[in-house]
Amino acid sequence: MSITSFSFVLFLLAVFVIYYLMPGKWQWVVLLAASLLFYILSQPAGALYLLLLTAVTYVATRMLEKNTRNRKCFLRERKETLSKEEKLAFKNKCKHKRKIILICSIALIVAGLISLKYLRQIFVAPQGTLQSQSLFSKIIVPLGISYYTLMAIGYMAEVYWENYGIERNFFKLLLFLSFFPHITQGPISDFETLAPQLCSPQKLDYRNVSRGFQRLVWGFFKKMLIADLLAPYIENLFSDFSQYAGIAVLLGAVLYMIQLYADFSGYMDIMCGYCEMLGIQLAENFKSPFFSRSVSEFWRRWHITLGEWLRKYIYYPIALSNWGVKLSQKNSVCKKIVLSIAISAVWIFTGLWHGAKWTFLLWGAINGVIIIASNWLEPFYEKVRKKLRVRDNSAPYRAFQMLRTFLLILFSEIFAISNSVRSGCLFIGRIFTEHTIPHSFRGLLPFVNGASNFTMVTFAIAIAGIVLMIIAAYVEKKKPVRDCFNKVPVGFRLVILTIAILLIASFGVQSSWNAEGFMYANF
Amino acid sequence: MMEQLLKGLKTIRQDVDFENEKELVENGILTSVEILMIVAMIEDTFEVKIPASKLRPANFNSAESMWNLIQTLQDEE
Repeated sequence: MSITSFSFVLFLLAVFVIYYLMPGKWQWVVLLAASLLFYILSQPAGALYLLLLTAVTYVATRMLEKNTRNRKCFLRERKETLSKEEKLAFKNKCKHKRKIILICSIALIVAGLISLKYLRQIFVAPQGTLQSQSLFSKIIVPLGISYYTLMAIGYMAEVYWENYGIERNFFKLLLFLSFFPHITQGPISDFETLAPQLCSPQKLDYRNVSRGFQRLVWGFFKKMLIADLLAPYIENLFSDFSQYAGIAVLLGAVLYMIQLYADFSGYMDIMCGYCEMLGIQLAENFKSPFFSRSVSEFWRRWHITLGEWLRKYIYYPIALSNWGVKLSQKNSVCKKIVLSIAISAVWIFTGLWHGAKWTFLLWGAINGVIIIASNWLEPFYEKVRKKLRVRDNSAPYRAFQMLRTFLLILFSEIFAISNSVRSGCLFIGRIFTEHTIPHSFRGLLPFVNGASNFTMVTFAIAIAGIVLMIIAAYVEKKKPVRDCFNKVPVGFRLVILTIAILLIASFGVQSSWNAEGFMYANF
Repeated sequence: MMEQLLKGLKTIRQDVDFENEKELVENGILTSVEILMIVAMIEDTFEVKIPASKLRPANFNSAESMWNLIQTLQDEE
């Protein structure tokens, strides 16, 4: 089911009505039924794998809980009879068993992810060749597999660490993993934060519904009037950039970043807004990323939940491992080496998580190298800045940092979107080697002019949408945009929302670009 | 003891108001590198071991929550 289709809007409306008509204690059943229906309508073949993964997660966490319960019971009963050494030996034996359970269950679901997602990508050729007739080409990649696999691993790790208790109801666990607002593109939800909300009764609240609806409309606006209108231009650009001027290629790359942000954050706004209408708070995934002053900061503001997952389950466990702590304690250089290893692991994982392509690995490597280099060179940068008497918080310096960050991210993203490393290098090379300055709109944005859906009206709408998005981002820095919007008289607010919905319905439908998919749903 | 913690935190970030700030992690004030520096400082100062499983925003969002974590770990030992 396409999220930008009229049928999906009807689906959202039906779920909303039934949810609030249902008695509180059965509302979670409505969400579960809706999530399973959404999944089956979108991709019936993947539903079986989702059930299997949930079963593995459920069994593993029940075994971990049993281990904890038995250990506590045993030690409590023999508190006076066992020596300190015997107690420690027993605890270590239980810990070893728990580790085996955790490692086996994670290995099983990671093996599933690799088999279904990566083998297909590695062995199936992009265009139809003999390879595409092989068994691997018949593999269906379950919708959202990358997202719910990470959520399942996070849940099992937290249960292993005894940070919180398990969910004993299989269907409630299934709801957490299959929840339709987050299954396609995240956010990568934390069980402890989301699960209680999903299963608690929610009362219809005007403020939640009103604010949630505003955010939902804004999300559809970003997706359908910015991202989807830009998409054919970007497709045109990347299909044959070799004939365009360097400045045109650079402008096109900038438009690609805007398209990516509008697509991904637009989806988040749709789903977070809808969940807010249901009284559920999904985790935020974006926090004005283009105001970042460093690449590290950018990745704390873009796809926030993925960054948090990586910090919790890869970065910190490596940095605080026994060998990591021993090495860090030697001197500050060794400490930086440990952090560099942890950062490298994060970015190799991130590259692979996006897909089994060299371009994703290179994208991850570029970001990793930049962040590691920044950590090592920070003292040097500080010395230079102080020597040049540049104030850290001065407006020009902040602007320089934001521009530098944007360009570094942009150049790494070009590899992520390119078909090959060579193509990415040629694209970037074109920017720096082709110095013609076009003097017309056609010359400056030739990939726009040649796109299938191009009209001056749709282009103007996309640009107006981008300007609105930038203004909203600036306002958001000082005060939440919706707080400002809700100060406007109700009648005027209704007019604005109505105009937005009419624009979305008119130009979303008329867009000739196939807007069924969201970009991050491919992961 | 809380004063020792605040003194240690100030050596890592002089510009942060650790007495009053309640969302050090959620608001992105502390980076992951700084959190690791805080972990090392706490382990040295209070002779506790902080495992990776305790590195959660709730435990590092304020000086008070860090202090609660230290006390919990001391009790467990």
